Amino acid sequence: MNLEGKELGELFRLADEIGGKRYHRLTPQDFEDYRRFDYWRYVSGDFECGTTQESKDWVKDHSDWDCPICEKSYSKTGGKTIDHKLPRAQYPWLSLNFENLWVICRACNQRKGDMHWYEYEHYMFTRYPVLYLAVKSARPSKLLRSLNDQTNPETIR
Amino acid sequence: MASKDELQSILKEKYGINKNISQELSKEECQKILHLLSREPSAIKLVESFAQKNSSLGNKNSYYSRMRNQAESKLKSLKTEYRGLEESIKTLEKNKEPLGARKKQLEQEREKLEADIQKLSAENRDLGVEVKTLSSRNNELTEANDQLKKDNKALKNLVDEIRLKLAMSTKKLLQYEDSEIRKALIKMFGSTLG
Ligand SMILES: [Zn+2]
Repeated sequence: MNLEGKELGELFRLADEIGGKRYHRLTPQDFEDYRRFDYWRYVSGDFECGTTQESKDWVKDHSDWDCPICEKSYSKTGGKTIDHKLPRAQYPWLSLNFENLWVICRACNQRKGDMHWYEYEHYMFTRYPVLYLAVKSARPSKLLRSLNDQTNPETIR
Repeated sequence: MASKDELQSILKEKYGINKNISQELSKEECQKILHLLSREPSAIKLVESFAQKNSSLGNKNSYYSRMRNQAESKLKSLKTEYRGLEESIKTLEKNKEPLGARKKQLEQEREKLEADIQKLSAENRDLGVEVKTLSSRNNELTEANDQLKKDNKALKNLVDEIRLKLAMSTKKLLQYEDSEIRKALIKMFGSTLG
């Protein structure tokens, strides 16, 4: 790839394209990791915070009355949802790593979508600067650092 | 007047002279002997001794004859037995040949089976080694894959972090009131501002 003479914007676009790529198809292990979250969350049914006692208890222990990002009451923003700070489709091995989970409101979750972490911080910094500090304080620094470890991914097996 | 037979009976009863011995004598001679014996005790003694000897010889004869008969029948049965044994030996010898061939064949089959077993166990060893190699290669691939997916995400986050910092710096610079700088900055980092 010839990068000479490319504009900065073009370089960023290329970096997005490469970084956004899946390393390859999901391996059976990746898929199994991805599904672990569902096994933990659901016995049956399809409730955002899960139907198992364990997932319900976890949500209760890790949330307040208000969403940590927009600080609005959950009752006014569509209720509580469990979000993966690093999306599990991209980071299946962190699917059931509790450092990667947090409870946010449905609206904030939808806004966040499948963004990578710094992509999300950048998005919030430019679009919702008032909310940026709340997002920054939730940054999963330890998990992001673990990407540079030369050891196995932090999967709970 | 007594008949010869009656005289013979008297000789038998009185002196133990068997009829088959007195048969050789005529009727007159039988009379003469009876007369002689009635007068001569020594003649009686002699006759009785003969008769006794005769009877003991008869007994011995019949004993030996019995023994001979037994021996003959024993010989006969031994001969039969011997012939039977000879037949058996012949049969055995005849059977020995195919048995030897069968034994040889079985031996060959055993050797072949042993060779097969050796070959299979060698193949099994090879397969074991191959499985080991493959599984260690698979482990290497899994490790490489784990590393790649982390590297890929690390790169993505690094680029995003740089872009975030550029956006922050740009925003700070944009607070200054120099329109030329503003224009240049917006042109340069427009893409990072989102
Ligand atoms: Zn919210």
